[in-house]
Amino acid sequence: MVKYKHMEQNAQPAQQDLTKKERKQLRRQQKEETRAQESKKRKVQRLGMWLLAALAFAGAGGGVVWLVQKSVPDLPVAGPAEILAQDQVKGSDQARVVLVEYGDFQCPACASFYPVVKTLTEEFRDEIAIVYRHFPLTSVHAKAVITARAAEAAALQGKFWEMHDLLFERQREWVQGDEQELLVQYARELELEEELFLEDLNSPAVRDKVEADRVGGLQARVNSTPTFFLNGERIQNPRSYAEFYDLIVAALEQEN
Amino acid sequence: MTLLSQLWNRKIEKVVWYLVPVLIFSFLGFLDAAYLTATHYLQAPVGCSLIAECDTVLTSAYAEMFGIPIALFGALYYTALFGITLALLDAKRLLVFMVLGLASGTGFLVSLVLIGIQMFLLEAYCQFCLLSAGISIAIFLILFLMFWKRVYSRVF
Repeated sequence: MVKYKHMEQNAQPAQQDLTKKERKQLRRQQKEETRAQESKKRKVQRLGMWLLAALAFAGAGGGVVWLVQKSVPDLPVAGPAEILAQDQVKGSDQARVVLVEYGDFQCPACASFYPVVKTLTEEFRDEIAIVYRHFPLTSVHAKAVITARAAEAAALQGKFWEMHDLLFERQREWVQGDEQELLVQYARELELEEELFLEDLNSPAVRDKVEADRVGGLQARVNSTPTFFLNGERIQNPRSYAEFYDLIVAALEQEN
Repeated sequence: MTLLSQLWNRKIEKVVWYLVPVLIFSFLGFLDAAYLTATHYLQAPVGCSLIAECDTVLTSAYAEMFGIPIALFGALYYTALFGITLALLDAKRLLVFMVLGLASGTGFLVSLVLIGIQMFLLEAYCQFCLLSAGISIAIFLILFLMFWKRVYSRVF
């Protein structure tokens, strides 16, 4: 106690002149000041914490949106009733009846529909437009995307339908075999420029085309392949050529 | 009012080690949900590389409620959860903990329902949705542990 008093007197000699009561008051005042300072410091810290959290959320949200935006294909996405410039069309694109197929080259059902659709194309020629769009079912078909891209790469050299036909006709071969090697072989068979074909196969433009088709399919609620839209309306897959034929004739009659 | 003020005046202590993981999980959940929300509105590919059926889930009738994607509700939920957790760290009050518990409990139940929809109604899974459900469940379990260790024994 004595020692304490002694120290205090040394530290603050001015206090010697103060009465005991005044000294007590001074000490209390000092304590309150440090408390106020501390509380102010804590307030700033809390404000900083909230600001930091808000910034982190805004930054993360903005970053996510930016990243997703970057992954959106540049091409427009076509609805099931319209034909866009990027579409692969057989027949006349001025035709009043439009048949859109969402297909996957690796799907067996698409391969069995392929001759049916091909015969329809020949039957109706310029009366209808047939559009093929990619809907690769990547979960079950590991080679669906690469073959879709191969058809688009062939399209850049004007041979989409030739590659489309070849892929369906030889589905078993490339599903079982080495598809990279076989695709090059098919390109050679179709007299495509091999180097250009390989370059296009992995180009962003071709990737975007396949992706734009797939997104369009998703928007049209396609969930299996093949899915057909006749003049924008989804149809149950016909069980025979005759049934398919009748559907198109009915659509033509409706338009005329 | 008196009950509320009583709950407000009860303080809970030593909870930092429970709440920091909740903050981290909430942030991760927010990133996940924000990603799905962005792909929904920007019509971007989701990148279903792990489980490719996720398109089936994300385009199903259950992916939206009142025309608003579930993912957006998720992003708002995680933002709220993060905010409440931060408030609890800031002022360690029992009332704030109860609000947090209520929010997390709701998220837990919703997650179970969403997993159930994927399992039984869609029979398809989406990894981003499962991740979010896992995060909600983890947060709920952490908070339950915290309740057991730090709240139940000390406050009641």
